[in-house]
Amino acid sequence: MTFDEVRFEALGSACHVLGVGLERGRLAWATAWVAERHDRFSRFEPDSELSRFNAAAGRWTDVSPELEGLLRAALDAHRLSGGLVHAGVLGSMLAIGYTRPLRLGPTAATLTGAAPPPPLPDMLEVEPGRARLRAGTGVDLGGIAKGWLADRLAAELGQNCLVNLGGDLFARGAGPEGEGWPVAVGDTTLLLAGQGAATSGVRRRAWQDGDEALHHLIDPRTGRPARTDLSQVSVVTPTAAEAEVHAKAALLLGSGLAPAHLAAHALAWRLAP
Amino acid sequence: MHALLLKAAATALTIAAAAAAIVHVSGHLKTAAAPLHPAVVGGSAAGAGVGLGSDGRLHLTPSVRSGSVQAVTSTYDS
Repeated sequence: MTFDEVRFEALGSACHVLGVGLERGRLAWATAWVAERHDRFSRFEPDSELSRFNAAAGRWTDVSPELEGLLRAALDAHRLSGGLVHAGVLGSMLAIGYTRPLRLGPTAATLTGAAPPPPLPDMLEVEPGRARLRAGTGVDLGGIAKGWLADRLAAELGQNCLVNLGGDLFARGAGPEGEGWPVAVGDTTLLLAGQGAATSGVRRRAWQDGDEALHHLIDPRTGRPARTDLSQVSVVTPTAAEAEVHAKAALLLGSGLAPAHLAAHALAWRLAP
Repeated sequence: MHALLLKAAATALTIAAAAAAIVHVSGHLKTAAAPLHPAVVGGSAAGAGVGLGSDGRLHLTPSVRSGSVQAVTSTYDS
């Protein structure tokens, strides 16, 4: 197999970008592209565009075309998942102690502040070039940004490339051998071409707070970390953004309803108990 | 005589159509293209539509192929 690749840390995750026949310098450009988006859309960077948008909740704020796109993607994710994928759970994230990057450790949880949020369209309005959050609310784009950005970077990077941002990936073109990009999903290799994949789970970003087992996946129906009988769901769909949405929705639905949801929305899926 | 020939022809046609239908249906008891019955990878004959891998269940529709080549990357929970 002949391809060029680069690995780096961004978006709080390990990233991996691969390409066939890329022009010199494209992988360095891709690395910088992701790093710039990390700085702009991280809620942990106080001066990021997202942090400034959250701080301005209650009034209309000018937003860049990319933040507008992400906010629209958040509304799409909410609609596609029947409300299960909800970017407006920032209050719950903060309440459970996920107030800073977890490499620094969670802060003390105050679960009384973890309440179900209103439907996202009631919290967030988006118009061309501007957006408004309901006062006292905030959004966290960590649940949708990686897949959305993987799709866009792959579209700009080259005709035959794979962009993997923290496990949410898009494979563009026919891959190194012309049969598709070989991607491991569990213990199976799938050949993806023009398809996205993502995995959502509750094993990572999990911690103990006293007697309470906590993790980062908030169920918007309760405002608390999801209680599910699945530990991990991997999904293949036509885009990475869709894969991320449906993997999370399936995880929240649990083993009873996830297969029906995925049969309607996914090209392939893996459920891990 | 003419009516008898017509009856015989109609009967033969009906029997032939029934036989053809039986052959066709028997050959299509399960179709890999059926969207509600995705193919299974890494599975045993544990049950229709369910394949048990070492750590989970993987379902494929005809739009996705599996391969024996080594993966260059993976999807994972981060």
